[in-house]
Amino acid sequence: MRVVVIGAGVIGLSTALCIHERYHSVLQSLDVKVYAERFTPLTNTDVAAGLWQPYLSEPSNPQEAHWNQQTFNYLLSHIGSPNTADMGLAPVSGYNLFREAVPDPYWKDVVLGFRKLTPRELDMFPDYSYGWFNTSLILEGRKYLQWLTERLTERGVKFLLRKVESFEEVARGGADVIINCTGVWAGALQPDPLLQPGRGQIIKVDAPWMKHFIITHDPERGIYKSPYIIPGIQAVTLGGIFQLGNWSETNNIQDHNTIWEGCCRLEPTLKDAKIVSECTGFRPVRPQVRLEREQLHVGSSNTEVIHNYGHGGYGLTIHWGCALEVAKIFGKILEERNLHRMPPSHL
Amino acid sequence: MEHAGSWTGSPLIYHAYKSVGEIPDLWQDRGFVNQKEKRGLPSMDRLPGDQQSCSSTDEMRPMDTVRIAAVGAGVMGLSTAVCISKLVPRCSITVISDQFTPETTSDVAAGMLIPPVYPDTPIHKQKQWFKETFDHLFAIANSAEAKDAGVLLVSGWQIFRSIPTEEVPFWSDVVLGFRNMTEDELKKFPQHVFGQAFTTLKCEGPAYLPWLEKRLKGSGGLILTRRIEDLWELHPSFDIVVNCSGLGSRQLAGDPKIFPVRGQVLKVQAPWVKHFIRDGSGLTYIYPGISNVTLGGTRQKGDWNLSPDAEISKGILSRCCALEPSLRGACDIREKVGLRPSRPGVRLEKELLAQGSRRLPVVHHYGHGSGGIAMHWGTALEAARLVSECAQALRTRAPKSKL
Repeated sequence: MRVVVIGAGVIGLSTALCIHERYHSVLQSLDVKVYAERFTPLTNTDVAAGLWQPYLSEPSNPQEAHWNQQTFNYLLSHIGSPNTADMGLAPVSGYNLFREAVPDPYWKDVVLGFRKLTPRELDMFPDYSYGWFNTSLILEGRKYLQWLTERLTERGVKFLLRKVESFEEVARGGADVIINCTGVWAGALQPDPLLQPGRGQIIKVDAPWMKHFIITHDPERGIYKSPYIIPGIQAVTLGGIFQLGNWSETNNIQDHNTIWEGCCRLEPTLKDAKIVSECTGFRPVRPQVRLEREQLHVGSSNTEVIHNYGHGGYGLTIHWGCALEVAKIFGKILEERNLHRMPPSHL
Repeated sequence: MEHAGSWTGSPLIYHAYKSVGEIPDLWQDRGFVNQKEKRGLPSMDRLPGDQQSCSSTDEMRPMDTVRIAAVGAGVMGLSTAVCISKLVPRCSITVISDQFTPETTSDVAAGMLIPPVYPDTPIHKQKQWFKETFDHLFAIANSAEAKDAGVLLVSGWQIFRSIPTEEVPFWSDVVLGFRNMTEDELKKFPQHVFGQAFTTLKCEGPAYLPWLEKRLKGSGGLILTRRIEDLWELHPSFDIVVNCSGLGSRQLAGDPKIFPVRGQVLKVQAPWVKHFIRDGSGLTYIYPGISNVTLGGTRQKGDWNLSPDAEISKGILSRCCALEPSLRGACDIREKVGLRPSRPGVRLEKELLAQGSRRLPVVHHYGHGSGGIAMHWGTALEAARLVSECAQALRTRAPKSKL
């Protein structure tokens, strides 16, 4: 059973790991390979700040809410083990700020200690009049991808630097199941008018006195278009850019100024922060995640494709729930092919 | 009067100010010429005629410039000096100490604003001091100066192995967002049954003390390196002494009530730790700061030993890893020891020292134990008020009378 995962961002690597963890012991012939054009630190996952936080409004697909929660609980279960820092994982608390009262988010009971901000706390943010405080998790993209790569390598999963031109090419190469985790570039393999880049630019600074995330919201402007400050393990990510349809991979000076001015206004101490790096990434924006099975007829055989892309700005937030769902679909495929009667009990 | 070739009496530089802030040529403030030689001993340490000092004074300075000395350059000495420079009109303030940052007790302290309880001080006073300190530091934390001053906001948890008798401490409405931990939050600490979550401030000595020194210098204050063995050494060069010598008051004030409570801590690199965790007993704690995480600690009464103990360090690391297993990955571990200047209550009062016809008004400001950083600004304001009262009293006396 040859599985090829296309894409080595958080979705590709976590899906590969999830499948391998669940099926390698029951399927002797399981052979998993990862094909990708970009590996860490060149993926979009590497640009993400890594805060677990879904969008504020309920997803159009209610399954996504479930996958978000599964991911949070999965990550939380690692808290208490000694190597969380190697995974890029750490608890972090912080502020969501609004200019007017808003309803509580659907994920308020998933995060820890969710509450409204008190008046004295709001005094710290003169431009905002309402907000939340909660404890969530940071899962730093780069560290997590390195960790996933190590776990996969330990398991004998091979990585190949390859630009895949078509599913057929991979099928002809002998793949039985293809997992399509190509993110924002999925359209190159199969046109998808619902998928668009949500360009983001971030500035990473050295500001170790910042222990909290601060995310502002401006409902008129939309998600990620308002300043945010998210501390990572070493550096702090400053952001606030979301440009639908913009494929420009280079850093833009106006965007830099927007981020810098917005964040310094929010947090005056940042004026002392040293800039460590600046990068651009593309959120794979889609009205909902494409997570479904498709059969390809290549020559005389059927090749299964499981699509898992379009996670927008919440890839790290939702990744494990989606990986579990893909693993479930994979299990069904095995059953259909009489390769494996019962799904593993822990699924 | 002939100039004395040598001096007798007080071995201190005699300040001759024409106005506050003016420094005479014969004596240069070495304090800020450059950071490294910050507080070298002045080369001229002769008094130009001690016996004549009073009359020389009267000729050389305005009648009512009050000369104030603060003994001690930890957080108390420096903050009191700053408060005095703002509160007391027409005064000169000099901080005198043999130890300065980064070698003071204040430099070892983690500086978390979680106050202790002083049995001998009324709660409303403690709450007032804590609130004043919190408000002062909160304003700094929200300004552009936060990083320079070493002040930051930290959230976290105080956890208990059994329900505490006092579930809501007196300071719960001073810190931010105080509430009990939820059951889900407590799952992180399986050995603990109850906890409190809140956001408070951390104020780090190694940055805050230099920041205070800068402020003091900006308002004309001076800093001298000198070990004072007896408060009378400050007479007659100074009119009022404010004693912020911490444990030094055992000798300087002859106070048997002050004693050390030895604290050993580890300062480690673990930048992924963003929350404080404090065991309700106060013995084990994890306090993330700007450039390191403080792990503690110990409370050894009557122990004066300033050398770190390796066994104790192992114990601290082990206790902290039990609360936060990811600390196993901590590196660059440095051991530090501080002697908390402990006392049943903070000594904050005036005393008029008398020896023969000599008088020396002293304001005592010491004995904060483990609550130094947490209470410093409130008590410094009060000490400054007491100094102001002393200055008022001096000014109402006839101009040429000897003190």
